[in-house]
Amino acid sequence: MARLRYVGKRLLYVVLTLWGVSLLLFLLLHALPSTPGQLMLGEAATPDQVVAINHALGYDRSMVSQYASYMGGLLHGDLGTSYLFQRPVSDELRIALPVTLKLAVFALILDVVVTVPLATIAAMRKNKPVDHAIRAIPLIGIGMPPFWTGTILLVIFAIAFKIFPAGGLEHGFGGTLRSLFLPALTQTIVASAILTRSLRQSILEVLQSDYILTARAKGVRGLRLVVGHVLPNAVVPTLSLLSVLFAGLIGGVLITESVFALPGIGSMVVQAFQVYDIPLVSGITLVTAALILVMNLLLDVLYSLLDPRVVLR
Amino acid sequence: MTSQPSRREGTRWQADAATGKPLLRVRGLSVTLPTRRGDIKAVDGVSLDVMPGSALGLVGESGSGKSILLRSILGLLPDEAHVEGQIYLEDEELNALAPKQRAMSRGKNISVIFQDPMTALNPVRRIGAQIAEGPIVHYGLRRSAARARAIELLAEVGIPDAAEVSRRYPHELSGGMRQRALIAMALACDPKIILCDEPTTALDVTLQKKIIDLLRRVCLDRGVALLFVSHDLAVVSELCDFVNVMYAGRFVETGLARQVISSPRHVYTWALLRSLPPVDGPRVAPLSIGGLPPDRLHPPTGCRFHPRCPVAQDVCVTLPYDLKDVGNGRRSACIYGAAPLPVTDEPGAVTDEQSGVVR
Amino acid sequence: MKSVTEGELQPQPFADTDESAAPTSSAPRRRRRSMKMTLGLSILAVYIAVALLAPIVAPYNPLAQQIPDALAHPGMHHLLGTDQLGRDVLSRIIYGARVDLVAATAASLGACIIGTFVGLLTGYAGGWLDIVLTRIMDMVQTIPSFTLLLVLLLVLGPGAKSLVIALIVTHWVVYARLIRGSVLTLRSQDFVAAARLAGLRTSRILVRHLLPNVGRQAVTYLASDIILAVTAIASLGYLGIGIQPPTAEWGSMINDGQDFLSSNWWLSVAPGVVVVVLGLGLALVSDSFNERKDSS
Repeated sequence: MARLRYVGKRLLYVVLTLWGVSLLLFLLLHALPSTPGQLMLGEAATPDQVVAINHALGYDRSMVSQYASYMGGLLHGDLGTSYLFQRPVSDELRIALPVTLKLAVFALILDVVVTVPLATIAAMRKNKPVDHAIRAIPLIGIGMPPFWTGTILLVIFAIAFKIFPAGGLEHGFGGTLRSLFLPALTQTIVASAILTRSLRQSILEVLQSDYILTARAKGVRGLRLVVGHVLPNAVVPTLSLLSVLFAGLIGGVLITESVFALPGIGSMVVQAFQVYDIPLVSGITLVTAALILVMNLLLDVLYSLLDPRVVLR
Repeated sequence: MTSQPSRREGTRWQADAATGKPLLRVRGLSVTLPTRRGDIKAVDGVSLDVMPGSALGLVGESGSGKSILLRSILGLLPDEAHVEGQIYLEDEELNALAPKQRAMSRGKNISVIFQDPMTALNPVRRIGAQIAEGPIVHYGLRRSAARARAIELLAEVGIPDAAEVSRRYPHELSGGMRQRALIAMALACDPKIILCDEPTTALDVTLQKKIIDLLRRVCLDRGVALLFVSHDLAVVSELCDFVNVMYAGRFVETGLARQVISSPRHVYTWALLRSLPPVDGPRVAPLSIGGLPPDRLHPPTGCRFHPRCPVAQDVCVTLPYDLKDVGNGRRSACIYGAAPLPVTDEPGAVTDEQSGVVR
Repeated sequence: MKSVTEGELQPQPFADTDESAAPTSSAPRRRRRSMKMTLGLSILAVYIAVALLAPIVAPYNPLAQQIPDALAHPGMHHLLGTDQLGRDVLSRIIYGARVDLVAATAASLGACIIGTFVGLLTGYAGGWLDIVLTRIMDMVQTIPSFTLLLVLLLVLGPGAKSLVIALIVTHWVVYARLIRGSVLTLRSQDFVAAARLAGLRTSRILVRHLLPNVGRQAVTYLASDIILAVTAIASLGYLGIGIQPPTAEWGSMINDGQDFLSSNWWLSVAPGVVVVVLGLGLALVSDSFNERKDSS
């Protein structure tokens, strides 16, 4: 029950932060040197045409009145109309967002699947060759830009060996998995480099504790010891790290979409940027901010579920 | 688990009882730990017997090797530790077993109670689940049956409202309740012997008494043997039938608890006793044992206690280690072992300055 | 996992000696640490030297197009071949260091300075200033840096200068949080109280007393931040944003080469390797710096 109350409070905080972000975006985008009319019509437009467009978009009204209608729109889920597509931004997002979400979730799952075993093995075989090998990876991994890693993976697995598609999103469950695997893996290489180090350290600390000794004294060993006693205690600090890294993760996902030509909001925002489609860019920014906030909330709740000593305030 | 008649302290065990087979036998156990500065022999050629249903106390300072001894019986030493000697539980030689078999014996026949109940319990799992884990692992009990057993055990160790408590987490219990829960956990698989590593040291005096009574009731009265490690002679004298006194990795004196404590046969034991404030009787100032704990890397020659011994003689410097019979089933490694010790209780008879001197 | 749990377990038999803790100052560890530091610094030195001496070191003009020689394989004349416009790849990579490395370092330094300043202020002063600035930091961190960069570049226009400014705006927050945390811890300590009692002006306290203590953290993060900035610049370059062609930039080179992956794969791979090695150098330096701090 206290947990639900906490979630409620946090959601309120999410809304407030989003409002702050929207205000920030509004101010920033109205600091543009050119008017929307000029941007949409380009160099060839006559001054009259520009004025007409600006009037139609309401750009010549006062800032306050513009902001009022902007906020009004937001409350109704209206994020404005895209210059590029001439359709409501929310419509465009409705198509593109699920792709990005699927990729993000897949990437997270892959992160866990890769990090947990690597960190566990490295910790259990501390200072042996395996451990040193696993610890050396982050040194290289941190310098690998996701888009480059994605390109390399493309070369090897999609072009040379043709195991995975070279881009685009295939249909159906299996097709989706195949299309999203390489992009997700790209992101995992970077994320797991950082997370493995943290989890390994955490596991080492847990292994020194008395309750692990007690569990072993009870005869608990092997997988049961790791899954039942070591990991539940060890993942907790790494979860905090994950919530800090998450914003960066999403950024990486957005860029990777362009490498693999996936029709998500990452590719979309790049296109929108190139044509100065302000409503679309700001709409996407708002949505990604909301994504981050919700994810952090989920991670905090997960944190409290794992460690009963945590009190959510 | 055989049913024993309710026992009164010490009366079941006669000094020269060769009756019955020992439950736990340790022969010539040595444990060497490599460290940065060299190898330390934490346990040096130790042998002991624990009779079924009895309580053996292991007394010594910190660093004497008693905890390492416990862990080697359990088989929970770090990989780089070098172990020699044999450990037998009933007839099975424990250190000849493969790690997997050894682990299977742990918790089932031998279980442990550690010193600090707060850190010994997994903070993210419920008490009941932790107690139930043993029976699940060793007997393949179904979860519901194991949980029920856990609740039974919690009630037996004197925790009220056991069903509700079993669903709590360790940080939600008081210190005394946690220690009782640890005892319940140790009993979960019906062990034949429970190793206790200073279970009362972290508790206050009233709680200590309760835990000792509890241990007597649920263990000794039921024929579960105890190997009770402590630096506190008072507690050991309350609970244990036999006591082995340990110094610098070796036993220096063994025998019936009440005899060793009333009339020690090794100067170190005497000094330990003298360092306790007396509970009753004339108020005599306790004497600390002078000198420093022995260097484990290069221990003193001969009797390892000789640098701190107030009545040491020249021969003590070269005396070979020999835990001799001194009658009544007692053994001592001291040259004075065969008779009561030549030290007195008079204040000033042994002072701090003198105890560092070898005469 | 047969012997996994029979692995490392360190009992603590002797209360005074600490055999079980990993000794951070044992001789072999010290040697390893200084090897790391040396290797890292050498890598960085090479990069800096190349960037500074580009006109001398590069065999060709990075912008010079020789269409007839386009897509040449690595050989005597062109050590790394040429791209689709006949430009020498090696020279472009060398000049790319001037762009990527310089921009990234400028951005990170700027972020470090501003972030440290803000962190000192909010940590020390507290009050409404702290609350407001912390809320702003929250909001900036909530927006993924990629989208924030795009928004900022929309406003600031194309070019290297806007890129650096945009990166500073995106990156300062981490420094601010780091420093603020340190300042909060140190603020209540005695030496600060002593300084205040002595009547020192706040600014003097901040600069002379607090800064040296917290500055170390900021400098340590700087190394990681630079590689993050390089990655960001390259990612944007890859997407055609930020540094504009025909300027040689590692990211845009990788994009250019993507069309020729099957025939001239090194066009895309080589610039990436250059980035990875730079990251390695920075990571080595930052790691060994960290380790030294731990053991002292």
